[in-house]
Amino acid sequence: MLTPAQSQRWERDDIETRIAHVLARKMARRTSGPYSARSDAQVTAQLAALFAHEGLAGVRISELARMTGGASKEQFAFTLNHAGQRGSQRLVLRMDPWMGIVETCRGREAQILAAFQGVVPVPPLRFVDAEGEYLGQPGLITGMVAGNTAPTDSAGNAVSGVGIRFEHWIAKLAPQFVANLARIHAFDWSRADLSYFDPPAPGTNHAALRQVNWWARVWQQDCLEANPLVTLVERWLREHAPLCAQPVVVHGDYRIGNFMFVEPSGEFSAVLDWELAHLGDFHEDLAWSVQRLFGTPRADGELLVCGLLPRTEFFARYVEATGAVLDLDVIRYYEILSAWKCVIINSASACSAARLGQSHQDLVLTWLALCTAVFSAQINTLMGDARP
Amino acid sequence: MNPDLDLRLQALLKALSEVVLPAIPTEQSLARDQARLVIGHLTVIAAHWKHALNYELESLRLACVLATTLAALEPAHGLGDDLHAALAQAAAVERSDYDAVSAVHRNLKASIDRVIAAANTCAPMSPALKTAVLEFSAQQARRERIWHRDAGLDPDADKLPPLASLFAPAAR
Repeated sequence: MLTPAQSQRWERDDIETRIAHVLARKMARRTSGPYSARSDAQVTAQLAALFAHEGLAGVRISELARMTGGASKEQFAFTLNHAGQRGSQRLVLRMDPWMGIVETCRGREAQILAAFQGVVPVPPLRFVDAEGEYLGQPGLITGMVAGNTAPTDSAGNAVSGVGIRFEHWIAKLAPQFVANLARIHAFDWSRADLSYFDPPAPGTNHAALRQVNWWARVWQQDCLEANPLVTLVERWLREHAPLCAQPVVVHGDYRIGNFMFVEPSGEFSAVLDWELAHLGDFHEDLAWSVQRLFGTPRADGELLVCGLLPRTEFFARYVEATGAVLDLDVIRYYEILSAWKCVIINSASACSAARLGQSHQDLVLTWLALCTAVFSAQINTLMGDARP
Repeated sequence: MNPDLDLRLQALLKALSEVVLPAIPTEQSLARDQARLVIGHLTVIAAHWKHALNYELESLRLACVLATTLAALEPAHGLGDDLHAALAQAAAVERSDYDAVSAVHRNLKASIDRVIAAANTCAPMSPALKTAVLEFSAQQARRERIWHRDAGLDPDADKLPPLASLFAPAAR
């Protein structure tokens, strides 16, 4: 465990190699000027370049349609025909704009999707261009999955999934939400090809400090205006980083809006958005899921975690599914870390990308920035309860 | 009559809601989403624009209170002098100039940040510093939540007072 002398300085550069690479790549792109949403012709040409590199012949790309829902990547559905396949495939292209609300790695996301095929429902991975050599920007292509992130009979227009109400679907969805999280954490990652990931040392506070270093770097890059709370919390997180006995795959964004289900069965068809996945402490996913912004209040006023079940029940069902022993102090630590990350993502990265005009949806980014204070208030509540 | 900002915003919102949005084909989902967000942003801006200077002035006042508290803790690394200089700038700012107020506010918060970061040393944080920053942040976060209440993103929006409460005499 890291126990530095008081006169020492914090080691802020201990960041996963691939994360450091994509963050540096983001900074290099900043001189590229404003980004515009890709035209259908551009996307079709870039897909053709990738498929040519993959050795596909007689390629025909059709029914290209832009998809919405996320807050960072450009997404398109399209149909692929080529000489080596009978019939057509409906596929999804997910690619980076020059800047988004988070900067992540399509190569890591592809490795995780490949690793979790058959473990939990995930979109089937088809192609990846981790450095954007053919697509112009990093991207990956998956099979199209049936289903929706919100019930088709629900009202309202949720941005990035926030505010979805599941109503009568809860009984079907809540058990799967917990069971899939348990399966993710039980996955034996040591046997998978996760070469883009650097595992933290077990039995140390390395897992937590790596996260602090990652997001402190993002803050340093994207901050438009100093925020005393962000700086205070960064110090506190370093001083109180908990031990992680055995690192697991942490989804990193396990919440409302990031799973799909089919109607009328209510069966999960996909766990989505693995771009923030990393190796770390299982408490981190639990803490992320229970954030207030991702919850929706029940008729009696109780906040449901991700619109599905009360916090205590969520934890109890997780313990029942995994046999894990929850440390409530560690949960609280990761709740503070999660809310701190969200302040950084919403107030710094989102606004920085919008100010530079480097996303295809600057408007969504500036809208999401309006909820920063929800996370700040949550930090205040949690820090008031935490150790000095 | 010169159409005032409220009238022009009202006309923009009506055109977008009643003409532009319904004319966008359903399959153009990005365009429809963004049209809805334009309406959302304009609605919020219509509520904010008259109060923006007062909101910034009160934010600056709260930051000055925090900076004064931190200066009294005699921060190391010569950071106290930096804080006093930023406080002096804040005291001298032209209070009717939004951009000037905003600039000294940002500068003051940067000075506060340097004190909190304590030159990145591993020395434990003082309880007094933690308390002062959390008190400041609690007030500021509540103000921000009220300021953005009507955006509809806050899960506890119904427990917050209306925006006008920020500018009532008792709140200042």
